[in-house]
Amino acid sequence: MAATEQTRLAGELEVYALHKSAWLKGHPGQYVVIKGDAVLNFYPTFEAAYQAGAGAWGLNTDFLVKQIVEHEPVFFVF
Amino acid sequence: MATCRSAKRDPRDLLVYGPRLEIEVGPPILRTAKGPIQPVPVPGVGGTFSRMPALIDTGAGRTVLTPAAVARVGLRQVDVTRLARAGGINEDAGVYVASIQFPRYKLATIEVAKVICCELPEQPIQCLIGRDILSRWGFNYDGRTGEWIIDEEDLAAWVDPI
Repeated sequence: MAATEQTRLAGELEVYALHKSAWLKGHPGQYVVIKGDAVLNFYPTFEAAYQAGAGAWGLNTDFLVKQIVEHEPVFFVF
Repeated sequence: MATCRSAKRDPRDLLVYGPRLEIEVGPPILRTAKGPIQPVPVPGVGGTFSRMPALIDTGAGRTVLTPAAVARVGLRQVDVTRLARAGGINEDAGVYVASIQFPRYKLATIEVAKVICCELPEQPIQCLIGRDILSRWGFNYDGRTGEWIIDEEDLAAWVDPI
């Protein structure tokens, strides 16, 4: 992964890691939307979460849409 | 039910290159009460569309785009995920959000799709269509005739919000 990709969303991923334990208790399986330090809300689907983020911050910007799960999934590509 | 067939019926072509089709990748298409919305096209920033060849890959759990393709379209990143690849390679990869259209086929546009960004070395392909998209279709690979077929149930373009 390129260095620029690693740094994109780094702050948002830190916010997620900081709150993950608490959110696992209150919002397991839901999607949280984060930009910078701002946590927008929690949503039942990725589509709903992305639409809310785009509505709040526009389409031409990065924001984190993260499903709250205990173990991060690993995707296989062969 | 829509049925789409490979353009060529050449067993050697399918054997050598695999099941390929042309796609058009762009920013996600969001629908509001006023209709679909997309970002204003700004080359290098976002909102542009790009046609590219894609390979149907039942070994890919998620659809993959190369970094060059992601940059050309100007997709926005929404997550980072763990990716396991052939050869025991494990790496973090960016997750981007896109729309995918099939200009040569009567297949429904995928308006919001999560795609993983990683290099596809040694391949003349910029996209792997993974099982996330394949879950929408029936897919038949006939190596004897050199033909592949995609079946898709009829889907509404969108549902008007109440």
